[in-house]
Amino acid sequence: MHLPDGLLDPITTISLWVIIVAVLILAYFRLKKVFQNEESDKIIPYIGVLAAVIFAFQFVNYPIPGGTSGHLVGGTLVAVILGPWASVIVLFLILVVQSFFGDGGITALGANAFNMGIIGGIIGFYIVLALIRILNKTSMKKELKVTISTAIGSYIAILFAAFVCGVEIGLAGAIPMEISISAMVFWHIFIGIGEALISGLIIFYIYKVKPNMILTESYLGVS
Amino acid sequence: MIAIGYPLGILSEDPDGLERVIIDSNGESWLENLASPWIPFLSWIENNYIAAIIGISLSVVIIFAVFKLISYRKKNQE
Repeated sequence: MHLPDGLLDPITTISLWVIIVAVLILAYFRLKKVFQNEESDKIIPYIGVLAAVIFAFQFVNYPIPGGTSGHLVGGTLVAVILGPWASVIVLFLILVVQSFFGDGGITALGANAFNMGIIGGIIGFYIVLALIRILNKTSMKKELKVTISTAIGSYIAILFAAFVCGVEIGLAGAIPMEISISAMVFWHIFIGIGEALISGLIIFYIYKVKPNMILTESYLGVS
Repeated sequence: MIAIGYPLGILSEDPDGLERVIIDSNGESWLENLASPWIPFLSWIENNYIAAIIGISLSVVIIFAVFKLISYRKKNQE
């Protein structure tokens, strides 16, 4: 889902840059909770490792029937682990590094960060939160509630990000809007399955080996 | 993951969803000829393994540095 340079029109490109810069500034101020105690420095290497995992997963594509491939975006996954505001910063920085390799454009960085960081991270996180509220009414185990919510939340967030990406391409006039939206959503119906499986499995694994790494647990309100 | 993924065939070099949509609509050459204001300075690395190692290392260093700086500034403000 990495938009290249030259695809979007200047107004969309600048608008999305303004939004992502504003959200990054807001994220900086909202990160207080993550760094409020003396122990907070200990989580920084862990954030770095998580970034490495996301970069590696975004770098490799799994096959989708029809001669297409998909890769993890990881916005919702990072948001569930670190919180929505930290996820925007992490995704933005990963996209900066990827643009060094030509995977996503430099002018399109604002749009890519908007689609994968804000929609994948922030919106995905609140979808997960809503799903956990629903699953709290069941007798399911805590780790299963978070795993299932993350998987479904990631899937919905990817489809929404694909929809928005289709709108952006349509607005740019590169492809007629009705084709860009329907085609983007169609392919991501399949790609999203991989996103949901990988995100769900990583969360389940973390819950099994080191549940305190899920920094948002108290905020998620899982019972 | 990269080292075992391609030989086992569980990884793919096919275009991703966005590229597929653009190629189906406008053709591969249209996508390749999009104008960019800069040349990605690491795009010359064609080996996936080396690119992954450099990319992962850069991600860790940059994110570590940024979050360390955020943490430092937050603590200084308190």
